[in-house]
Amino acid sequence: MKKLLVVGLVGLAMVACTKKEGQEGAVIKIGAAGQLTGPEAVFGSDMLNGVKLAVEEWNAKGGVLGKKIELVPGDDQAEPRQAVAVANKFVTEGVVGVVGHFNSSCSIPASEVYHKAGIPQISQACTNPKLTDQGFDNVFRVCGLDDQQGKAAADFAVQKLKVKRVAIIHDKTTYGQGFAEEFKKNLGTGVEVVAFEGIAKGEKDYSPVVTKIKSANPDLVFFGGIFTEGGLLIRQYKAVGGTAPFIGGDGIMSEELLKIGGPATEGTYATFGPDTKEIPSAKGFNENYRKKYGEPGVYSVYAYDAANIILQSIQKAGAADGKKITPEIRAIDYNGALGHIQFDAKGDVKESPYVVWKVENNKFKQVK
Amino acid sequence: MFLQHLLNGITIGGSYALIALGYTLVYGVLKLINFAHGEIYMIGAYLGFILISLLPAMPPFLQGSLPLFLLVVFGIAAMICSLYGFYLEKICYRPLRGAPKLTPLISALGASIFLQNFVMISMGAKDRIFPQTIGMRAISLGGVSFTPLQLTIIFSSIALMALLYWFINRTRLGTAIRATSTDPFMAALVGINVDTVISVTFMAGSFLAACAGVMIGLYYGSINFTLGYLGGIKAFTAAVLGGIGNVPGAMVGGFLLGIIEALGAGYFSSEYKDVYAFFILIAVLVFRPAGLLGKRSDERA
Amino acid sequence: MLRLTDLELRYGPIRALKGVTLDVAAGEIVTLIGANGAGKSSTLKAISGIHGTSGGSIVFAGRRIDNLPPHEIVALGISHCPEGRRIFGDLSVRENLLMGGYLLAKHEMAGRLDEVLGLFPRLGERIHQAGGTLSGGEQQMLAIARALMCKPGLLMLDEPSLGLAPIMVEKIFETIVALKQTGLTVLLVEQNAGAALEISDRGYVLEIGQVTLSGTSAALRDDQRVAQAYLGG
Repeated sequence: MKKLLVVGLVGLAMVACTKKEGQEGAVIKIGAAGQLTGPEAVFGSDMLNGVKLAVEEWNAKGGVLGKKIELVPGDDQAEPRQAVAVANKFVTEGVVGVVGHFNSSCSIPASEVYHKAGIPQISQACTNPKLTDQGFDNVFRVCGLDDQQGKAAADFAVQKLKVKRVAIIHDKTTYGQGFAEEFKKNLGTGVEVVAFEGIAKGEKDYSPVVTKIKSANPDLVFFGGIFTEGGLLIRQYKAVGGTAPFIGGDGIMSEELLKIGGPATEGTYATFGPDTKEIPSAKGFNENYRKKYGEPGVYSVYAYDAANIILQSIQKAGAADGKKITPEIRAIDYNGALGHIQFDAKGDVKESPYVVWKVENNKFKQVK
Repeated sequence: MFLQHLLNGITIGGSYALIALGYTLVYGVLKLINFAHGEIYMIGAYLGFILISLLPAMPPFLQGSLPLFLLVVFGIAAMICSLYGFYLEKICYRPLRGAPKLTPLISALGASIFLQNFVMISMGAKDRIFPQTIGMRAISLGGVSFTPLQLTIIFSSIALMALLYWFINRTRLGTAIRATSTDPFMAALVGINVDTVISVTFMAGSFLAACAGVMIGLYYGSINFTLGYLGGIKAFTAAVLGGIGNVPGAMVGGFLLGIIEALGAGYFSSEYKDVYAFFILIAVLVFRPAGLLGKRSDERA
Repeated sequence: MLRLTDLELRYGPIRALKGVTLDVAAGEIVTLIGANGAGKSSTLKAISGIHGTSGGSIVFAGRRIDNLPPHEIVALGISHCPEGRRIFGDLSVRENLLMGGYLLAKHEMAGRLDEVLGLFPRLGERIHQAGGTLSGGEQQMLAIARALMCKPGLLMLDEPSLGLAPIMVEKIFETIVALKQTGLTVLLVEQNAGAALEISDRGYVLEIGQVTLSGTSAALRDDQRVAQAYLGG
């Protein structure tokens, strides 16, 4: 008799452990994927904190659909293969919506996994057009696209800076190279591209490249890539006597650029969305974020809004089921920290302006 | 542009040479490749980072004179790394003296992994950025741009190599190292304490690697715990290029490698910068395995 | 001065010395003769500490020295000039000698160098040449000179005549005798038994790791068995 009882208890315990959570369980799981470790980790943690803030706010009000929200972080280390592994992990754990990834080279392969599993994905920072060109109905983004960004940068260079000779460097990633190509496309006929060079990520010594660039005598140097390489390039370019300013995109919008590049970064330009510190809708977000995590990173607010969109859509759908959530996201008319967000048929944001920022007195400031 | 590339190459080459010397010296006395040597170089860079970050806390006479401060930084980093080298040998290699060649090699790899992770855990996995205190202002001379930092690095590398050369050739202990490299048994028979000689060899190599680490930290401005991996492989390549076990060879190999890399990346493709080094290595090993300055292996009785 | 008692030595499972007992008195030249593999070189290696012993004892000047590290044994006054000369080929003649005098105090070095060069003037002519470029005979002289640099009380020579022309061999042996006149004690291992017994006071015959015969060199020379096995007649 005792034996039967023991077996029965063990069996019950096993059943309880294997019950799949997230869909019928006591929590609803949201995934946040990005480079949480590695040289670019600052972007990842900015993003994670943005999502955390959203989840905490919702949980404070009772969660969603009466259940607590559990945030599942995924570290893709800015590595495409890792990104796919993270995506698979999310699927197995029963995540119903994903904010991520960061790098285009990660978001795009991961999106295939999410598409097969029917889980909605909203990227806070993937700017490469290919993400939504794939035609996956469950893939969205709240940031801009590189064709817009490239054009914005090119227009600024030609019309505001009136440059005639441009050197272009990229980091050979999906994002960096794509962005560089868009920039080049939009320069027009009055500008000569005096150099187009790819660099290796993770390298520390760029003296050969910057020497080459310097001797091509550009008025402006464009860099498609992340601040880790950008900072070193700017610093080493100035060290070999280069004088032209640099212009980049969202990848270099970080204080880390200033730390790595030092005083040489003064006068560097970057394209990005408008300053969220100036937008009234972001005021609440900024205050709350500052209280918990310090100064927000440039992408924290994007991740925050992406998380909110997912959670609102779950609420509307009435079920923690990816296939039901996706159409709600598509149809949403959202007002958040970034302002008004609506998605078009491809999953891109309907309005996404880009402006130019400049490093002045060791800080990024929006150029008026 | 050629001169500019040349200058860049010499700057980097100097640090390759300093690290290569450590490989070559240890190979000479133990016929062993110290795979953990790259990690010593990396630790030197981190020590430099810690010490330079402490500049504001330093006494005024150091703050006022940057060369003096640098000298102190080099000195302290080098001495601490010498201790690392000493204990590395004592713990990871000495107990395996009689073992088959594969065993100390595995021990070396293990030590390398341990040190990398030790630094990663204690100092963090993120890149550490050097405070920008040293002159990065570019000076132009005859079409070539350089910074005071570059000159300091080149000058220091050469000075250190001269110091090593003097030590190896003109002092009793240095000559004992050469004797031990030639014939360790005979060295013991003339009264040389071979264990002491081996320890000193490790310490000398670590001393140089630490200085290279500080220099590279200043030059690149940011360091990472994985620095030792690629730096170690390249320096090892330089040592083999010059002839493993050969001290002038390591110096020549280091500079040569730096220059080839700079010219290759500058004129052909900077994307394949690392490849030039290995291509040269393979070519040398195929056509002249003893290295450029290495001995042919026929020895008289 | 030197006494070996029941010395045993192994190379792995192979017993090279199976209980060797011999002694060397101060000022003597003692020779060890025997066939290849008899254990002559192993005996010297045990004394100088190059190889460890597995039994028995070695006493030098009243001290037990078995299994001490080689550099300590040199410091005690035993200098081993090994088989094959083993010159430091890349080092110059001068540097080889400097290494021989490694344990000398700094102020003694120059003086001792002159003394030793006085005994071997040919080396003085080649003082800056690399050791590896010398002829066989010159290398042997260098090896002995190097061994003398540390002012040893006991000099051990392993096959000094190996590979040398007869004229050179004669010269070497003359030198050894001259050294004895200066009060040096010599333990000489030689395949060339005849020449060895000519210049030595006493001798031991080693066979397969043991002493089978001993006595004054004169007695050994006359001994039938020795004559047959080692003197070619």
